[in-house]
Amino acid sequence: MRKFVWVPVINLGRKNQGQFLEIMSEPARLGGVNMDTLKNSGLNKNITATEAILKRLAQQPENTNLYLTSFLINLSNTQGINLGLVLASFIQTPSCPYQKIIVAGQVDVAQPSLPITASNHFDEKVEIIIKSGKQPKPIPFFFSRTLFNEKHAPLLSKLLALNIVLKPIDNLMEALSDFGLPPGN
Amino acid sequence: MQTLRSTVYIPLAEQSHQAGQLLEVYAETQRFGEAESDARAIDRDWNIVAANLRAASLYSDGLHVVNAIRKFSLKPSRWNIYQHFKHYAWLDNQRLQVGNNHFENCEGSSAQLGLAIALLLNASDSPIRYALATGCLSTDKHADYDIAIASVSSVPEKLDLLIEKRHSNALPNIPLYCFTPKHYTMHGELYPVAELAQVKQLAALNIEVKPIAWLSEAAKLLKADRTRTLKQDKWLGVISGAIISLLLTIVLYFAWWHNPIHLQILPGKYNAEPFLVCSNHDNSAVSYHDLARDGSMPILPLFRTENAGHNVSIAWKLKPGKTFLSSRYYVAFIHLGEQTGYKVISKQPNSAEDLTVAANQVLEWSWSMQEQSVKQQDNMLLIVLQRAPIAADELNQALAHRFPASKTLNVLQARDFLLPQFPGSYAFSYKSIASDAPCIKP
Repeated sequence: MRKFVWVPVINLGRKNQGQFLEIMSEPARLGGVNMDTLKNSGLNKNITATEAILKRLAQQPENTNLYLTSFLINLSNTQGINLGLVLASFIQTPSCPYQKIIVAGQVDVAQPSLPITASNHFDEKVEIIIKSGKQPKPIPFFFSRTLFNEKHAPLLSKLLALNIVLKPIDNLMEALSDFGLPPGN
Repeated sequence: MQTLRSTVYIPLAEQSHQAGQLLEVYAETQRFGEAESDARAIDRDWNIVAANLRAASLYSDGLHVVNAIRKFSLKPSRWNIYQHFKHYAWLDNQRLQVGNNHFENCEGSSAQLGLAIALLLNASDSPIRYALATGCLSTDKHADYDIAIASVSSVPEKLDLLIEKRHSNALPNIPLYCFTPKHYTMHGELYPVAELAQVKQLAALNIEVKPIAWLSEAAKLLKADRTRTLKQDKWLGVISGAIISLLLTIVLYFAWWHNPIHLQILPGKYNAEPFLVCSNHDNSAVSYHDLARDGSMPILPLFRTENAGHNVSIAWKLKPGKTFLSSRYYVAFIHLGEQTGYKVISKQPNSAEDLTVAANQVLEWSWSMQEQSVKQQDNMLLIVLQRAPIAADELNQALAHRFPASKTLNVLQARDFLLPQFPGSYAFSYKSIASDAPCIKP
């Protein structure tokens, strides 16, 4: 089944040109997680970082092909894409109930627990989600729990009306547990 | 060799430094000679489908189109085996090119729709080879299997340019579709393309303007339903066809080979089974007798020595039926005697020629029983028919190995050993018993 991860991204050169970077995930017969086509889009560093994160996890994802089907050219900061790629690698897990997710956050690879830190330009990214309008089906939005506070509450509350399900997480394992993977991954 | 090509003309609006012109982009299937340019693109992490657009500064747009169009689910026909294994071969085998290379610095994203339609036309089984387009692919609207088309500016000027180019015969002289977004932008506002006066003017010139919101609308009009058959599909089809044909031939051959040959045993006197033949040495008198029965077991009498003045034989008549592609069969008679052992006859008498019988012909055969010194034993006669010569030497060796001559032959075991090797054979059990009666009654 074709599944999608949307990562809201901001073009720092033209701030009003934020959009979803769309990662398409399709089940594959062989080969683990294949991210070859992403190299054409200048995401080599992200591929390396994602592969390094996947190696640190006890449980490995299903055979999956990842594609970028929509992206903003000339992104100046692609750090936030890594979390999207990791979750896109696991979204084909049979127990994962989601067909589409939204992700904003960074994986802190320096910590053993792989905590999710705050995403840069979080407010603008939430605005991108709001701009996309009401979704026909509920879509979970994974983001750092550090941003789940009173300051962002008014903005985040708008998402609830748009069929977006808030999923604040402390670390990567929390998101994977939500996919139905056993804890302690 | 001419490769398949699909061309899209993209009107570029007048800019400050140059007049409005047509950009010609086309998609064509990868040729063998392009391996070098592909290798260079792969080496530099360029997308091989869009790499050739770099010369016209359209690579970024091409890359965006190639990435986005992957969502568009073109299905291969069931016979395109290669594409069932390599899902995006229809896309990855395409190469986007710019036809008029004097465009070296195309700006804006209005070429994206044209590039997408060129890919779609060439990758699909659409009969259409030319189209016109202006528009960009939306990054705001998302569908799982479709691509939204976003508005662009200067659409009236671009349509004016198409009218001018049509009048000057700069476009193929055939009916053409011109795909545009539903709306165009002007001074930050959206206006519907369908209401432009140029739409009617172009219709009069055999150019049908089609404002679309999603790429699937263009695909429907272009009859781009399924992927085109690739040369890899053809090669794999030929190889698969050859393998399937070979396997089918083998299966049919074995089916034919093992198809039983209908064998009819004709009566000597009344019963359709082997019978007893008595004759004088000079053949002055011959008589055929059905075998007597002890219960259900046929009995072959072995006569007293004083009756040896007669020729005494067990005989049989067989008539094979006609089977497909077979008109002549090889024959073997195998006699199994509890004490006399086994005996295989597959050659003509006094000859090295194989014993054969034609379909629907009667073959008569007899074995003289004079040589039988054994008074009483269980016997079995096997009549074997095959489409190929019977390897009697190998059969004798196998029997000798399995049933040494020093031991009494277990007739039933020997039968069970032989019948699986010769399915459809005729097996006849009988008992030979010493008799005091004369063969030919006086």
